[in-house]
Amino acid sequence: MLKNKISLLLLFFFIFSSSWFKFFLEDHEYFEAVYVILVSSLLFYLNKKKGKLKVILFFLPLLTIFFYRPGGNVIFNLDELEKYTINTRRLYYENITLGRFYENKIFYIFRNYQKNFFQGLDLNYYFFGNHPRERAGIKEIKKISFIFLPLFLVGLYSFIRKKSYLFLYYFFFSLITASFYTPIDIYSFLFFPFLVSCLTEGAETILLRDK
Amino acid sequence: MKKNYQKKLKIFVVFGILFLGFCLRFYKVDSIPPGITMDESSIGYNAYSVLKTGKDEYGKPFPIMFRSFADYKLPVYFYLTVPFIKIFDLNVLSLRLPSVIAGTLSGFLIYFIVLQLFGKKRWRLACLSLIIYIFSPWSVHFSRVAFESNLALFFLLLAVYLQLISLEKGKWGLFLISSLIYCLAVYSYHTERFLSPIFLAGVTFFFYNRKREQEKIPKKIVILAFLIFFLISFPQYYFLKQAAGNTRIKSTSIIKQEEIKEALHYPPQILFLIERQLSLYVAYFSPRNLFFDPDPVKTRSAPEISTFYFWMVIPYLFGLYFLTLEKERKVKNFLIFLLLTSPIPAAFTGDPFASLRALPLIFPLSIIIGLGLEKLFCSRKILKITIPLFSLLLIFSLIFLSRSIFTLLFYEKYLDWNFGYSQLVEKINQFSDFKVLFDDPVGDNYPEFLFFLRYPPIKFQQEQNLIDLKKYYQISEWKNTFNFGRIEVRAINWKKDIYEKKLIIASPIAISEGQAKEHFLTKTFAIIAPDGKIVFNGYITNPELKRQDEEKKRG
Repeated sequence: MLKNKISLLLLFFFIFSSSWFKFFLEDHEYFEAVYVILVSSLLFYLNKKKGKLKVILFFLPLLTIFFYRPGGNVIFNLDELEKYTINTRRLYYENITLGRFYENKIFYIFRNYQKNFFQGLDLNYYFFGNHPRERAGIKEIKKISFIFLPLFLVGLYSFIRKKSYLFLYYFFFSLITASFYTPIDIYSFLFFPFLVSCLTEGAETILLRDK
Repeated sequence: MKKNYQKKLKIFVVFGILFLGFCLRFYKVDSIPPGITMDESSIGYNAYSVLKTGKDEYGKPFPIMFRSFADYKLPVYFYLTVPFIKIFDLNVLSLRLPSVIAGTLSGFLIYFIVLQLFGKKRWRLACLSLIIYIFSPWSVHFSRVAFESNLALFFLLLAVYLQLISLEKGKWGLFLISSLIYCLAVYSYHTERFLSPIFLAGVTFFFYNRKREQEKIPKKIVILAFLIFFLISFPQYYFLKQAAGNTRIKSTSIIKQEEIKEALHYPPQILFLIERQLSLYVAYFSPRNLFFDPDPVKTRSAPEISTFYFWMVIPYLFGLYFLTLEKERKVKNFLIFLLLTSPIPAAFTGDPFASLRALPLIFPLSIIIGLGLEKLFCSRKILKITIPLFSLLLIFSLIFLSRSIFTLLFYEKYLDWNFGYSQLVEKINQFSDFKVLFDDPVGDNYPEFLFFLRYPPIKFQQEQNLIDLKKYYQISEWKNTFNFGRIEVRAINWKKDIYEKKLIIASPIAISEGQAKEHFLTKTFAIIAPDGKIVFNGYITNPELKRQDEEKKRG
């Protein structure tokens, strides 16, 4: 019981101490702040419970994206530069059919999806403000202090060892859904609950381990 | 009978994969990438110089580091290119062939190392690791160019393999040979100067106690091997005090002495340095860098393709997971050790993701991705589905690799690959009565001319007399003007050059149409790039018209 209370305290400590959360408040992104607190608590609660209630978590990112639109573009809409690139590159091929096979809209849409997906998987994005590969035209913020990186890795390893895959499923479901919008930053707050959960688990593993 | 058939099938599969890998590296290697980098031309011409005179371009007999652009390149690639130049003459093929062969054979070594580490029962893992390596864009790209890093990787893998066998079978002779091969890796590329001793010690540490006491290599032999390694490699470490050893480190290292001094006076600065260093290190494990974004340095990757194919992120993440569950503890720890140590030298350079310097990382990563694939795809129940699926993924990957390397690289990166010098040399030969001035303010493109002209090395050494050979390894200064035969490589001097009869070659940015008109330069030829843009223009000066015009203006 005491362990649970300490874990909950740790969870809130990681939420409120992160510069990411401060960024939500400063930028008046109150929906995102509320989402982070609620979903992180829900994840924490459901992880200790058994049953089919966990399925709710997988619909949360989808519902959020459906109802909450803070901006950005859907990956299916190619910009002018991309359209120009497709047309220019088609000329490189001797055969028009070959040009259309290699350089087509689907390929570029898939590329945009990959761009978001891999950005969301990048640890540097969360812990180092995307250093050393900052993106042009996007304000990069250090979401979580790099000092907590070892805690995150320990937490992630601990979840895997315990076969507690709920957090991982939630993260990948969020990532797969959020990658449809570009830039990924618009919906990256969906990943926050997973990150703080890993940090909490990492701190718990180190501080509260049974001797 | 069945066993014999299976054995033959395995050999056929492995050689088939290697053959395909070789074809992928060899096909059009002399024309794609379209041109050669200045480093490649320097390697080629110095090797040619050694072949013809026994000296490098500066006249230094058989140097143990080639001064080149005062960046002091390590010598093995140079010397290994000599026989190829002897057989095929000085051309792009003979320059890149050692890299093609080394890149293919490295795949063979990875296959055998995996068999050695995991046992013959894990043949599928060995085969998958070989496939991952041999078809990875990282390996294919670096095997198609004369980069020393690719050769160094081959020696590093060979040394690891021989050392593993020697420890497994208790053959001390092989252990000594492996320490010699580690020395070759040290003399091949800068990264291996730091990784070779770490790998030598690492393999010994993890596998020395694998056998019973009587089957072990005597400790005296182990100490002797380490001694041999340090004695032969000593000049490399000794050179770290001199320009030859530290110029490259100073120019690429991200940590500057001033920063450390500042941090000592102001401790919070230490935290900043740690954060920056850690971010650079973590970047080498980032799926974004490994599976999506190409290397930011344009010659180190093909367009729109990263080090591995995007779909490999799944076996990569699963591979990391399965690695933690691996039963063979020593093998598991050894792979984690390789994974963590391989990117260290690269992480200390300023580049965000230096795939060239981190090339040894391809070795543990190929095995880890292979491990993920083995566990995900190789269960007997689902083989009927997974084999066609894997084959399909591989075919699509190769289609997009060919798009990147054979089309986009050719049409979009020709400038980074110094396209146009071979064509330029042909044009220069047509204007045999003219002195030639090539506009190059930095002066580092001169080996391109030497290479394509096959300029007689003895003549170049006599004409240049660039440095005091007694201080060959100590001079880091760089001269940015070169004058050989009738060719000058330097920046245009507008007050002087237009008043002499000569052929001036420059990029369209260096001499605009307005400038050409103003100075009475007659355009005589243009070198056209694959996409139809002009790379170089050739102008003939008209000193008399220019003088007459000036007199008119004065009068």
